Amino acid sequence: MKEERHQIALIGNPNIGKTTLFNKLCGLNQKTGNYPGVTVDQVKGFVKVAGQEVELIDLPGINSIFPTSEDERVVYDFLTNTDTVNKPEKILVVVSALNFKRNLYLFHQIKDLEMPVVLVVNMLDAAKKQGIFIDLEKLGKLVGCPVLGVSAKTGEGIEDLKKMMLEKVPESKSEISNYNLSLDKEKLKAFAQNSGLTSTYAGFLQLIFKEEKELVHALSNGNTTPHKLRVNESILRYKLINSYFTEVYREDKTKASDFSTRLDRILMHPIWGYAIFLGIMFLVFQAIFTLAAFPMDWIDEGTTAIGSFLKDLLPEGYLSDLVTEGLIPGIGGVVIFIPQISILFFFFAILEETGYMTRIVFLMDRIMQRFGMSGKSVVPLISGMACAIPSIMATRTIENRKERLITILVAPLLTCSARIPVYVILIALIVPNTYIGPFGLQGLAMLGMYLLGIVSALLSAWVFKMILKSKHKSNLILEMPRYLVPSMRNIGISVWKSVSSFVTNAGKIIVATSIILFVLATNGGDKFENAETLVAAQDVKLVGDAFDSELAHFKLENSYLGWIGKKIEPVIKPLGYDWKIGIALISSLAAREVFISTMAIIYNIDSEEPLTIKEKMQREVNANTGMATFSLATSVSLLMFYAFALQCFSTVAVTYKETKSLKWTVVQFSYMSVFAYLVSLIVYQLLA
Amino acid sequence: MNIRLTKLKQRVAAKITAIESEEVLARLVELGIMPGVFLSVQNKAPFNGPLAVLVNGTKIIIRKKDAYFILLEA
Repeated sequence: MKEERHQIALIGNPNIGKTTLFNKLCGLNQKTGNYPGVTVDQVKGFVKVAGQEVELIDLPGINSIFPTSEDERVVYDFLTNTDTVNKPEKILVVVSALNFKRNLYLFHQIKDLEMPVVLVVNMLDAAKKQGIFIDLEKLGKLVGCPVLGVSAKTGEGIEDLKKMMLEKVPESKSEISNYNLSLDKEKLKAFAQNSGLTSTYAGFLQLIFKEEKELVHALSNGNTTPHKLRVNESILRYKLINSYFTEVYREDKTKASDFSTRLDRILMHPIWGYAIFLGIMFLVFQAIFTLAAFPMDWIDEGTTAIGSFLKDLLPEGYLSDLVTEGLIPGIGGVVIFIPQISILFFFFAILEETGYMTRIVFLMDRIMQRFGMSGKSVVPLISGMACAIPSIMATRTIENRKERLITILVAPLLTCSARIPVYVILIALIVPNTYIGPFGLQGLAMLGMYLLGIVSALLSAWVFKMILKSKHKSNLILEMPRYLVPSMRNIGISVWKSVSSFVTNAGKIIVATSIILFVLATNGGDKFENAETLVAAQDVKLVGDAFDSELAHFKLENSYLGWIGKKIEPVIKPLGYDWKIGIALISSLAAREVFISTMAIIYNIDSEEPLTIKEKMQREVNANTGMATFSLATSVSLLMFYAFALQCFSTVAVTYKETKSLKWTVVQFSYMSVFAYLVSLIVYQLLA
Repeated sequence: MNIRLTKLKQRVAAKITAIESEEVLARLVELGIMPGVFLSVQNKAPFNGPLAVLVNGTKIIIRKKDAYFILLEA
């Protein structure tokens, strides 16, 4: 017997607590996406009901079945695909009691698709507090579908919902034929059947979506157009909802709290709104720097301690060197920035959950338009401060092609979390750890780097706006959710998902490059093989520790890795880098965070003492100048290079995937690389 | 007498009489913004930024250039 597979889809408007419900049902039992951050694709999760496993699919939030942007397209394709194997067993349409009428609109559209549909009314707890009452039993009778009331936050009704997942639900009845749409109903039905579609409404959707002007003309005896059909359908649908709405919905106005309205008067205020937005951003980045400092120190010291502990424990040999000098510092390089990334994702989750992100869209739209983008670009750009990959994917919500392309092109200029460890260590080397009032100098320097990222992204966007032409007009029509107190459980899950996918992704690259680097650093040509005799011949007075250190240095210089570094040294010398930094630049071409682990490996091999990475970098002397390698000029030049260069293969890949254009992928990589080189060059030459 | 949404005073409700733009009509109607419905402007962003209007208890952001085409009963 074939095993029964239960597959259920969750569909609903944006910001109605659909993901909270999904998290409540699945907990951590989810297939985490490849990249941390905003969801623009479907997410799968599993829930056990009476011993059976049910697969849940969480789809992006939509306002209408008609897609206006790429992310909404996912739902349209999912619902109208004709492939019977991937048809979900049921569809749970989630609506919010707080936004009931608007959400019923989408429910009626999906109901018309003649599928097993269950209506789930969420946020009942919040609604009660605001004096909103919904007669669910009556609603069920009126719409002819099973109706359930839940509160994803308090857990009310969740058990009933789980039971419903295994129950058989009949296919919903379409109402489209009751609408007076001036289409020949029989002909429309025949058209849908001939196109292999499962419902008449799917046929109707296709007529409008593909703008079948001639077909519509024929089906309506020349009476209407796809555009008019779409508008008429909406008007008729609202009429239908209005016809029963007052029977099931009651709002006690005396209880109604206008908390959201009052809060908006401050948070969307022409002056205070912006001041508060800047203040929040400033707080977030101060928190990242000050709060994360303690766990980061422990991790740094911990890795060093584990390294020397294992060194004593393991028998001497090439393999144990690979572990203690290659793998451990490499992995330590990833683990060390977990605290900062967790804090960053924690704040992003709060901004998203509370509904504040949409207020930022409102405040920033006008400014963003000056730079050729939309207010909606702000959300991807802010999430670009976590990671450019989800940021570029999140641009799918931007309808206008030009605005979307510009947002994609400049998103990697924002300070992503992979830059944090590089910035942290370089800033720690050149900025003293002192305070001016409540502000840490290092924190201010970090804030400066974030501002640099923002300013350079805006300026590049402005340049692209001047160059690019747009055929399409741009619109911004967006619903604003009411403010909600964020659920800590939800935020916890969101942070866990983001951090774990980040660590596994970065981890894989770092472990691989660490091993490659170690092998390249510990093998070499003739000079490497005969290092001991050559060093002894060079300076006969060297004995003991001094000899060992000189030997280690000589070996690294003549290893394959050293050879590569020396080869590119002439190109990067004007930027103030020596061949060791050159190695780090090359190895971090795949991912920026590799810089730290490369430094750790190079300096570990180069010295015998167990020191933290920062201490080793401070001690480093540039062979060309005889001065400290990480002087002010070199460090600032490196900061600039890491701020502007596109050192992230994943970003290049995702840009190609999202733009479907080799040209724009090349443009993005080239303009950033050239800019990075020039700025670093100028900065070094001015400071040195 | 009709006035345009861009001229409506903040926090005063008015009834929509017509939407003159074909381009955004379908999107607005889907969100419940259609002739016969009452709306009010709740917030305005500075420097000709977008408006936040309240319709059926839901707040919706609309750019000024699109709001221009929404006519109201004065």
